[in-house]
Amino acid sequence: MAPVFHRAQLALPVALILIPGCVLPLVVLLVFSVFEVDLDTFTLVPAFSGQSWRQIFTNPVFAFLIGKAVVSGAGTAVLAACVGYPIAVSMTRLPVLWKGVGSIVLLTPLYTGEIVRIYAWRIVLGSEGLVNAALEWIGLIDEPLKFLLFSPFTTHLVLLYNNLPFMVLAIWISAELIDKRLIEAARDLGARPIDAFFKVILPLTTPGLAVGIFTVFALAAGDMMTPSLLGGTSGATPMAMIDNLFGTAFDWPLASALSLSLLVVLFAFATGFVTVLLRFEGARAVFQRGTR
Amino acid sequence: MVTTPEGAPDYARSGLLLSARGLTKTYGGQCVVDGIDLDIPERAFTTFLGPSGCGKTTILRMIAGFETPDAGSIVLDGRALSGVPPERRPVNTVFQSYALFPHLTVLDNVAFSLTLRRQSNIDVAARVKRALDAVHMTAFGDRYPHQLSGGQQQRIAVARAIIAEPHLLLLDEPLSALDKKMRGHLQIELKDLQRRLGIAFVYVTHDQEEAFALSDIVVVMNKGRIVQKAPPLTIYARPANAFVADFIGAATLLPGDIVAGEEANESAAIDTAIGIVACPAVEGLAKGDRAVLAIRPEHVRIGTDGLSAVIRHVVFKGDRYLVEAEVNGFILQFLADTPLTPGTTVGLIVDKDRAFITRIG
Amino acid sequence: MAGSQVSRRDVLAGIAAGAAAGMFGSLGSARAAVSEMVWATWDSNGHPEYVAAFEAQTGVKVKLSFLSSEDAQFAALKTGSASDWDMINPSLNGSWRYIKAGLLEEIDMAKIPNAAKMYDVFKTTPKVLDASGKQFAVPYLWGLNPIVYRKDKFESEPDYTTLFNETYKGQLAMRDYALESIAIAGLVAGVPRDKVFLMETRELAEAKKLLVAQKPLLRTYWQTIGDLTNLFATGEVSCAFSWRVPYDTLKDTLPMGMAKPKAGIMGWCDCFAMPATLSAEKSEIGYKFIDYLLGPEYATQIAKIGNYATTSSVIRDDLSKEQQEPIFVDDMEVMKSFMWPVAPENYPEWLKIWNEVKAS
Repeated sequence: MAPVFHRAQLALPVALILIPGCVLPLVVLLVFSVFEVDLDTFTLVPAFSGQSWRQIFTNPVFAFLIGKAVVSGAGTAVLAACVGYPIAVSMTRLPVLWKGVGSIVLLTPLYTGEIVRIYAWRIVLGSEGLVNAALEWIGLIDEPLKFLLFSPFTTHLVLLYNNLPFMVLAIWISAELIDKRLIEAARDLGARPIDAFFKVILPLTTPGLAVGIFTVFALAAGDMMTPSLLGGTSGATPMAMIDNLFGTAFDWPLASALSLSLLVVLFAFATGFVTVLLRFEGARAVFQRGTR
Repeated sequence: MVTTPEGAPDYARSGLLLSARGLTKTYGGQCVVDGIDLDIPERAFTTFLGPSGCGKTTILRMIAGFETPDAGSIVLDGRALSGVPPERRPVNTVFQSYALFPHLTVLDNVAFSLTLRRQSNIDVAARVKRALDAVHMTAFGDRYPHQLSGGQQQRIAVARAIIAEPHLLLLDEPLSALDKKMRGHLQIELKDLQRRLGIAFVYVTHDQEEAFALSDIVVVMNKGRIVQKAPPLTIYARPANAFVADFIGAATLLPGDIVAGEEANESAAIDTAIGIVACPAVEGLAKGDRAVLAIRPEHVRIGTDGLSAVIRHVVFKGDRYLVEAEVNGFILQFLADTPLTPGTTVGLIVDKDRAFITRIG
Repeated sequence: MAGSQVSRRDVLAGIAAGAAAGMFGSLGSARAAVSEMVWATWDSNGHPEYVAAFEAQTGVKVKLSFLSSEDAQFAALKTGSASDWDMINPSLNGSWRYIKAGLLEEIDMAKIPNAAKMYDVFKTTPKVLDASGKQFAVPYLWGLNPIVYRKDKFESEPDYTTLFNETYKGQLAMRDYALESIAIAGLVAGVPRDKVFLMETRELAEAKKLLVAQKPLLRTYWQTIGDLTNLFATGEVSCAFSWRVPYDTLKDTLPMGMAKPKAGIMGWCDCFAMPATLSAEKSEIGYKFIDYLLGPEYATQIAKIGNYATTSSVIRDDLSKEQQEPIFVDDMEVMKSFMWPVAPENYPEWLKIWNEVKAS
């Protein structure tokens, strides 16, 4: 007799990967967060202590840093959506050959190492860098613009640059899947290009937009290198703090509690964004197409 | 029923709705539409018929504004369309793939063009209802396209295209994705709708039966050129050349030389593999010209004193058998009431009064 | 059925035999000879040419495993994820952590002939001993962390107060490191250098206030020494609490200066140590290696290429004044003004303050 699989059974392999790979570390973090540290022997002592969590909730530094990560991630995601959208949509209009070239160019930032890119940005944005030199040369400024480097501006510019490919790719694929006849139909029915964009392209690319926002938010909110090496004194991140607590301070319980808090908050925000986006009828239409 | 708010269209322009001159379109060095001149009358059902790649859809897309002609002009309602974007042309299109907006309900799909014009909601609702009535889909307003069958989707696509009361409705193989029965139903409905609305339809198809069933005028196209433009009956009875004869219905084509032809008494004779056949004369063909004799299967019957033919293939067609038989190295098709055995020899009589001469190309 | 069971048993037996053979095989080779020692150290301490002479003398290859941070080294040893390390590199100030955690093997100084030539300050330091006086690490390389600055931007030699001076806003940088940054603020607040790592809550609050006020004056906090060198090279920063690397790297192209503040010079010192789990055979080679580190070949190489001095006086007297000066052994008085940054008992409080400063 042929074996009959229930759908739930088919999910078993995925569960087998997910549980040890994803759930277990979280459980470990949760357990560690209530342990105590013996600083004499540098060992974790099993305990049931609320000490770490009390710190998380009472010391405003933690809430501030997590909030900063959320705002940073959300800001970058929204910026990337605004900048990435026109790029993605124009890529769908390229001839096939140029689409290949376009996707290679788009991914160029990802081919170079992060450190290389960070130092390249210093050359571009520094006090004696390309932008300031050019502005001084054409006489727009007398003193270099210091905010170009080592400021929140720099952090977000570079986060945008680093993560834009993920946004563009997600929207591009989504836009590429839209039947071109739909846009023709809209134009035929009296829609100007701008109307066709808002009434057809935008609603039908919401899944791509949601994926892009989710990805960029997570990557930008979790970035540590860019803020710390380009954000100047504003570059403090919860990630750097976790690193510091795990390593230098050997305060694993607090580090675990902070990691978990950050994870929960980021996950909640990301899920919130995506849920809101996917409530739009465009997203529903795209997903239902497969279930007819 | 939807009517134009201005009442009847302007018939003063001698009933001419659209006129194209020297229309040309080339893709990658290949000429898809090759200098076409075309007039489309008011209120008529005009069909472009031809094999795929003949340029018929490209013409439709140039009228709709999705393609820009490389050369030539299109004038609609006395206005040149050159440079006018699709949204400002008084034409609407029904697409082969329906192209319904998947994220909008049937109501919103149909109302699409009206909402763009910021009409009052009451007016929109009334007009949407009338359009849905016209295609018998009133009960489906709240559904999404993916909840409808293909035939239902195409009805909605038609309702959506007629709601803005275009001067010309373009239909690009709208029924080709449907099964044969549904296609038959919708053909009747489309024809009926066109009569009721009184607007011109320009229809594209590669199906000659569909073209004949629907059209007032059929425009047969081949390789980017118009081969024949005439009412269906003329096309059927007097194909302009061998291509049309072949394309519109299974016919045996026998090449031959005109041996006698007097335009005065409208009769001619052609010397072919089955002998010299007398037929009505064709304008422009004279004695000595190379031409083709076209014989339809239904005009050939078995008879003892006929041409000696060897049966090659027999295909059951439901009511009768389509038989291919070889006569002097040429294949002749005819219909038989009984299955014949391949390899046997029969006598065939060609109804010479119904055979006709046509040009080679 | 029976046949298949037998064959399965055979296979299992075969696997077990193979595994056993592999185990004994590796034990056997370890007993035979030590062919390679893995040395976890900083890339600046362990260039291949620094250890070439040792390899030639002993026939043992020194495999270099470069560290990313002291914390990573500690964590790797603590969690056992660094089982291939044979020799490690704790800092003088951090050694107590490793000793306390029981990660190091006791060292018998009598087995290291060259230890006799060590400078007293390193030979007698209690930081490498446990509570009962047993020694677990050997200091072998040291230096000091100066203020590096651009001579063209400063009329007089800067000191720690310069780093808090409004006049130089936008040209200053501090290291993103709680211990040193808070200590410097403590010195500026007037805490004497021998008390600075013993600051109490009130003094720490003073230091924090200074650091918060300093923040807007800084161009950035530097992360790695490569990072800071780049900042000097690109003109972003003209004065920073530093290591000497930017000075050495840039002195030929820019007017670089190096200041040793009177308030107290932050020194650093790296130690040699062996993991507690090291085999007797390997620890014998380890002794030979630390003896080599304190001997003349290593000292000569690293003074010439890296501008660092070892803790041994073995080559000092053979060097000219010009050769002594860049590695700070020209005037041995400098050792008396050293401050050895050491993580204080209340270090978690320091870290908290530093994180609050950065997030302010």
